[in-house]
Amino acid sequence: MKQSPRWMRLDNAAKIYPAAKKRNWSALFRLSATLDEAVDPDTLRRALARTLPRFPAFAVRMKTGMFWYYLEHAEGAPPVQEDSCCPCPVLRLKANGGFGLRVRYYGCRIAVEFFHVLTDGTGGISFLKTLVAEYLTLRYGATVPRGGDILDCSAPALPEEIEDSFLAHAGPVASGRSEKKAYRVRGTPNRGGFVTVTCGDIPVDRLRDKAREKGVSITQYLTAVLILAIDDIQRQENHPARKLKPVKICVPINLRRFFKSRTTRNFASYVNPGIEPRMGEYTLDEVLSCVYHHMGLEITEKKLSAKFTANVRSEKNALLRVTPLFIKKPIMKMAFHIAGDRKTSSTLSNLGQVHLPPEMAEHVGQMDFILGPLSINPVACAALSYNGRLHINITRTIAEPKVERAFFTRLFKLGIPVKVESNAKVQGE
Amino acid sequence: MSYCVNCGVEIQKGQKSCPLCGVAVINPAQPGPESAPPMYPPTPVTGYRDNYRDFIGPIAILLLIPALVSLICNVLTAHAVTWSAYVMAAIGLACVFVLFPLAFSRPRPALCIAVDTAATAAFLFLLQHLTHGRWFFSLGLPICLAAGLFVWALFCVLGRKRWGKLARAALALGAAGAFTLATDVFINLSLKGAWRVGWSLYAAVPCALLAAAALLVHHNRRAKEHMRRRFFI
Repeated sequence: MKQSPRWMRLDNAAKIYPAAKKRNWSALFRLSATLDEAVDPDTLRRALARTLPRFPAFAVRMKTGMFWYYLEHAEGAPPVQEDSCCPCPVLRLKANGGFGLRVRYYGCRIAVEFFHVLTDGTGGISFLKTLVAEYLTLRYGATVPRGGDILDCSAPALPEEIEDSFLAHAGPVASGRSEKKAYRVRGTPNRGGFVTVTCGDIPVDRLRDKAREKGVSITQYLTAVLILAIDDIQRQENHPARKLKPVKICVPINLRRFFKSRTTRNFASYVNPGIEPRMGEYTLDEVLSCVYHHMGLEITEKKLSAKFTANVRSEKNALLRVTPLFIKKPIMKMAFHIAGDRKTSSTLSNLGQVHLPPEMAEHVGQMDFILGPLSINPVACAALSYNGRLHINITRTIAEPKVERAFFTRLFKLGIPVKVESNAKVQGE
Repeated sequence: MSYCVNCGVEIQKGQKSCPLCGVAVINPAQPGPESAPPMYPPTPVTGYRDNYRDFIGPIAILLLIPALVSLICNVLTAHAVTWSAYVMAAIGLACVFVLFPLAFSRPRPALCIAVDTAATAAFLFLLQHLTHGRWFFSLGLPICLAAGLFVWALFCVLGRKRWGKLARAALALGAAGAFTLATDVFINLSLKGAWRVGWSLYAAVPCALLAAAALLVHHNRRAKEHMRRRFFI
């Protein structure tokens, strides 16, 4: 569908987020790059001013229409702010100039926090890389080659970069959405909207070797370990065996691997591999087998197409389209809270290996990917590999670090060295 | 490099305790603290709204409109405050019920129920005064207190998810039966001066029987499984 450069509709995945937004919650994620020198805020502002116009899908403000929300082109850029005590605190669009992304800095680190209405992890990493490339160009005069996901800011944006790829690739068949409710980790909520993040630093080669031994990918290996960690937590609560709930993990899948798309907006689906603890205690090999086969069956072009086609059909439903937004919004909010996070115990999003050209890599020491708090589940995991190190960032909105402890100690016992760090002590926890 | 003596994981420089288990970092080879900048600066989170206090003003103003309109109508037509006192008192009671819980960042059911009970008692006392009656201390106040106690008991029982649905339903039914009995006794005491129960038996006895049946099924696994199979939806 052709989009005007002045305004555009929300893409299919983004439509749920404004409705699902709560008073103190919106779907956020964060990407950061740690440089070899302290960040200069003025240079960062100038770099942002050059980068943002190249991403017209991000230089927008969300507006309320009669039937749907939409995105309107915005001049200027969001304010560049110093980081706060935790990642992904609540986003107040008005305080951020109406923009759905936030650029922050602290020490040597540049971070960008995105509202999921704008984009997914793949689009976000492209923006971060381009922003850092512009920053390095302005700061050091580095000539960073543009190509791939580092965009050339002097070139105009391409129409395919702002297309709604869900609509473009929807197929003839839609699949059902019903799934059983999963076990939810519970704990004492953090006060004041504080988000605790624990970062585990792991050598990629050790993890890759372990995963290859079992014949699975890194994502599948980490998913299996996370499932077992959460299963341990459920069993420690001493429920009778028949009352144990399924433990499932939401794993986002980048659809650009399966469908030809260069969009910088949302284009991801998900799978929910898991186990049924009522059947008994699982070994690692059993869980790996469940995860491997579930993902193998679900992650095919046809199955993924059927999944998002169901959402596209909902969007195109004539009755839904003509329903005014003020009626649609509470219904969508209810649908999200019934069918959203409840189907899974947590989320594990792995952006994979991030490559930078040598001109950038010599200045960038570390990169991180952090998920903001989920709507209902208090724990979420995000992973990213850069420069031979895999960083797993586990965010939580409860005081107890039970998932982190169960997960990282399991990895450690499997022979994978882990170095941990957390922001928990800043709030006196 | 330091390691947690409990979990075994390596701890990043600058961490005073293990982020996974809270055990202090002990490294005899490095007596002083390993310094490193913290992950995030101590700048507090802004924009987080942990209560709904900003709604109190607008809702109070909205509720004030009918109160003032009725007062003005009453004064203009009757040249005195007569029927509008009832409207204003009712709106005042609604304000307490709706606005008081909004002031807190965390739910405080016990406090809210206590305040609501006190507000209801005050409303009844005002009604007695306006109707020139003498029923508040003998009838109004005891029933109001019994209702407050009943609501509080309901909150306590329904909040205990570990007890199971049948046990909670049994206790809730028992509380409901007790409340109807108490109401009947207070009414009879007030009107007839006698400790008697009458109409409440029609409610209290079925409640008690249902509660007993629910408790019996709750404690009998086979019966519970049988009920689940027969009555699933």
